[in-house]
Amino acid sequence: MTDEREPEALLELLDLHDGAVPAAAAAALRERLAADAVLQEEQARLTVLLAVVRPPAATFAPGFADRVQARIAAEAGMTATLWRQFPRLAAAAALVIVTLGAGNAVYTRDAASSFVEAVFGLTPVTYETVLADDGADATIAASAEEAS
Amino acid sequence: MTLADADDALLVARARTGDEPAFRALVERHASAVARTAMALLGDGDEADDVGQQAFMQLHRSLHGFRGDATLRTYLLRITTNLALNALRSRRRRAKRFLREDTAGDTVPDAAPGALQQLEREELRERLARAIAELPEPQRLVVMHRLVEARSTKETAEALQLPDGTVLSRLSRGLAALRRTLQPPPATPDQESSR
Repeated sequence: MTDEREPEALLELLDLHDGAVPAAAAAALRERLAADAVLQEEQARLTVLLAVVRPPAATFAPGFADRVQARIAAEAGMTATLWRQFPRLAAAAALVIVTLGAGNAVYTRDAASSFVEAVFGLTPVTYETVLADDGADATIAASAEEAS
Repeated sequence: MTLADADDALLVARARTGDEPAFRALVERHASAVARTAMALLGDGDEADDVGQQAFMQLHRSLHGFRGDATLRTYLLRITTNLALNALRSRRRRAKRFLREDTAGDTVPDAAPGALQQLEREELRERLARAIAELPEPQRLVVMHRLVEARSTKETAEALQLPDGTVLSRLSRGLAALRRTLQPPPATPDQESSR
């Protein structure tokens, strides 16, 4: 088990790794490294860390810019298609709604329902129908009675 | 002046007007930085390529909103890091599901020694990526610029528009957090007793 060095040591080791330490300071740091097992361990750990986070050949496969532009074009094409289709889809949906509403108004309207209720296929709701349909409990029935 | 000579602000302005070659020039200029970030977190497979493509698509979508408060590279690094971390999260979810199915079927294959080493490296990358994900964003940005992008402290400070001292303190804290992920995990009581 090792003790942790002060954060400055890590920064110095990182700069040393990146060749960002002036020659004289680098030589002094290397001397310290040679004599300090804990610092050596820190350096080894830093080397592993950098080997993982700095992959040696970190470039995309050839044709990356083409792939990006193709996806952007595909996305733009899809959006344009949706916008082109939108008025037709909206008109078709409106036609379906009007047809269903007209069908409801003509075929299902009874004397008790208003025109709007008939268009939307709503059945008239009264206390009686609610209580009858849901088998409401005595509390609701009592409060309905009270209200009437 | 050619597109290659134009600065980012000019290319962004031209790309906003639908100038495709200008946007392509931006992609070509910053692809390697995006690749380094994506591959540092995800390895060098197709997933990193996909994240890179998504990062530039996101940039393309937000060109009109890009105010230039941060440099374009910093903006791209931030997008790429977030996308890569999301990809890592879904990868972990997939892996967990796969592991459950595999364990249920009892069909764990023998790994070849090379594959095992690769697996260890991938596990280490995942641990580091998770540690990077857990850093507060200001520290994470410094770590991505200085460690992953291998930029100098001065360049990092310029890119993030921070004083050198702030970069160093955030880097030092970030580095210390990442360093801890490289510590071998403490032995469990079972492991201790089997020694």
